[in-house]
Amino acid sequence: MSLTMATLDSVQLLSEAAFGCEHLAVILSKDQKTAGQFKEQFRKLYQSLAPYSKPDTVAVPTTGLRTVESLKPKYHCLSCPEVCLGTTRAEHTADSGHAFYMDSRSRYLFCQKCVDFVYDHGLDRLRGPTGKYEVLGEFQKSTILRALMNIRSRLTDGRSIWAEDSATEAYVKINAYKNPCINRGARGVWNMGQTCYQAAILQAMLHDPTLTAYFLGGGHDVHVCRVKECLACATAEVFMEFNSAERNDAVSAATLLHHGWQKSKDMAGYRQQDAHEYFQFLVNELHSSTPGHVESYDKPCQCFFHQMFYGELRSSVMCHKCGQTTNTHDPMADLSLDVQLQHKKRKLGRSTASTTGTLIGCLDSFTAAEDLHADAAYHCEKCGNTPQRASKRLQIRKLPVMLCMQLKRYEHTSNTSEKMNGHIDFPLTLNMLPYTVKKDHLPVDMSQYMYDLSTVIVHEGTMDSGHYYAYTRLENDKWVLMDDNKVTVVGVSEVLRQDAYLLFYSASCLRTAKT
Amino acid sequence: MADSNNSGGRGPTYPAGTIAKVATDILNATFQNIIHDLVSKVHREEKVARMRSAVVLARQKAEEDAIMPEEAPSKTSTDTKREVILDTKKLASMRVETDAALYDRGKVFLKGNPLKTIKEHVCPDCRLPKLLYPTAGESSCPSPDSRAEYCANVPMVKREGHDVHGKLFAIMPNPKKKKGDRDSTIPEIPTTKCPICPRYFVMTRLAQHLERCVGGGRNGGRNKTPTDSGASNGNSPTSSAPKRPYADDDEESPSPTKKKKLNGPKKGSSNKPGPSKLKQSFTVEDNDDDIKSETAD
Repeated sequence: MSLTMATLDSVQLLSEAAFGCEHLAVILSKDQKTAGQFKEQFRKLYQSLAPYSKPDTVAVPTTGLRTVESLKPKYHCLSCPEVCLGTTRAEHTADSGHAFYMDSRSRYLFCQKCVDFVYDHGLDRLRGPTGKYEVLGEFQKSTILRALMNIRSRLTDGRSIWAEDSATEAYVKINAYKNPCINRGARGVWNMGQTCYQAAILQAMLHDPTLTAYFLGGGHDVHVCRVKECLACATAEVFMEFNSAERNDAVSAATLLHHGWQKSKDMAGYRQQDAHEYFQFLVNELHSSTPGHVESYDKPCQCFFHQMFYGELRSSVMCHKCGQTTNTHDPMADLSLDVQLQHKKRKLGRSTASTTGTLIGCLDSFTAAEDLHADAAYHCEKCGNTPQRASKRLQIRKLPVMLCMQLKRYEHTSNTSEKMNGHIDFPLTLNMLPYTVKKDHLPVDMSQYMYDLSTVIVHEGTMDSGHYYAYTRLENDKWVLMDDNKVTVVGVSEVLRQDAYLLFYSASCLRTAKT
Repeated sequence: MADSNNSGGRGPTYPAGTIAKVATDILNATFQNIIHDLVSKVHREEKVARMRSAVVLARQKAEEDAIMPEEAPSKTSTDTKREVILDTKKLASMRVETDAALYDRGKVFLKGNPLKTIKEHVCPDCRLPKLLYPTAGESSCPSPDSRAEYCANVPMVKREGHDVHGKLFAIMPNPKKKKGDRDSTIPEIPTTKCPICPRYFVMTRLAQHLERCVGGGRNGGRNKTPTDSGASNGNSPTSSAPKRPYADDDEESPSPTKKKKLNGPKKGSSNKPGPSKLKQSFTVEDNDDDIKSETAD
């Protein structure tokens, strides 16, 4: 397995320069010790400059203000503890001969001899899995390549190979099938008649690099799977068709639709469905059709889909009398956020400046402590099982890789159901740290909690009927509108203006440990 | 990323130690940081692209030099265009230099700053130059050299009525037009096979058929009421009278023999006390194997 990756890495490396610049080449190709020291220094500095959260328990010293030299980016010398500003960098290099600095904001390497930022492929790999988007992109690319080779080798000689030695490496090199250049990902999904809910949800999934890597990398083997009318197989088929070479027209998900109808009476039939319900249904089915998944609540499930989609919510109830807190943990596949509260607050004039609701506001009220109703009294064990006043608070204990958030736009009263229109502001990047359970009060690397907006699904129409369409971010950071089979270019500002119904965020950096 | 503490020559300057001074300093630094972040992101993208271009060009040059003069075509290669065999031994020991990079025994070293030495982007996968602007629609630019071949991964097209690939949106196929009359530039919605039965349907009508096919044959699904269909199904004929089956359309149908057979029970079923004729959606269902005969609206 590791050898396979090495093979593919070497394919990848063909287009990378050996070093970021000539000056870097001198240091890194010198001797083992010098290069090793430099790399170690790079790694240390990279970690120390990670965006750490402010420790929230430490009281801010009120006596005497802290002196901050400048808010501007600082350049940390890689060879000594010197920290320079952009203006003093040249001076330090002239004095000491140290030429390399790390920018405190971007954590990119600056070469004073080039007087430019340099991007070294080898050093970038030291950033590890917590690096940036590019790491993910490469992982995806190599996995797609691997998947294609895997499929191809099956076609040619019927055996599944994972290049295991240098002989197979040569074989792979000769037979490797290069994915032709194409505008990847810019493909629609056919609406087969009232199936826009499916098309929109599929778009959200088809553009996730981790899911793509899973399905194309043979994560769910359609040739071996023996499940009847398996939804994971049908989904894998859609992923394969979507990524298949040279085509850029819309894909069809007829089999997935059909199998979905067979699995669930609620989802069946030629009629409109709620996209959110379909997402939950699909995730649930994908999870249960994966070999090795665990259904019980007692044991934590380690399967791919569990890591991918399921987070964990902690609900803690605190008794007001004795202060005893009891926690319960529940899996969550998405967050359903009340838009209602935001509206009410606005009506009451409690929300002061902002005229529109925000996603942050929704998340704040979702995770805020609330008093339990008097009629559903809480019985505290410590207080002798007597009914007590208590408050309840929901917090996220574990975050999924792909985070789906539903803005509850449907208001159900006793006899009517109504859809609420109106804009809720949502950000391109979202920090989930404030809504998670903090284990201790140590500062944490905030980049671990950052999420990037990947897909926005909009519902147009009324409660009973309407149309779904999706705005999706492609690999190259361009946004497109996916209206069934029609794919058009849109700007980010247009995306952020939408009255979103479902928001999909994905973890900026993969937190998975190396296997 | 211009570095100067007193860059604001135009704005008012405040004496040190005042709140006004601190506030303007913080604001200025914040703006500068936002710009710094944006610029460094673009800088990275651009420089990495040009670095790769430099490497690919150097590697390409090296490989051209290492082509083995051989006449026997290789048997394993599926690439019919260029069947060349590279002298791997030579490739592993040679040195080639370009303006931007040095190829030395399998590795490529940069020479100078690729932002200065490289002028165009070369795709690392197909090794063709990349177009930087779309060729049609908004902010388009004619390709610099119309004879040259470019990487197929072109910038996306933004144009009214067209998709990102510059194609017109697909329309419902119109069977009344003869094959020769059809405008080949306008794509038609393709047909697809039903996952259950062997018949083909226009993609946008598949779900409708599938419901009946799942519901145990033609009559099984009929008694179900399609719930509030109208809104999203823009293609349903709203005012047309119930259509008679097109007898003369058989050659248009992908499976004429099957269709005849399946049309058989239709006559019988029309005598049954079926659902109300007022429900237009049933008209659609009755005709959905003739879907190709319906005109697009």
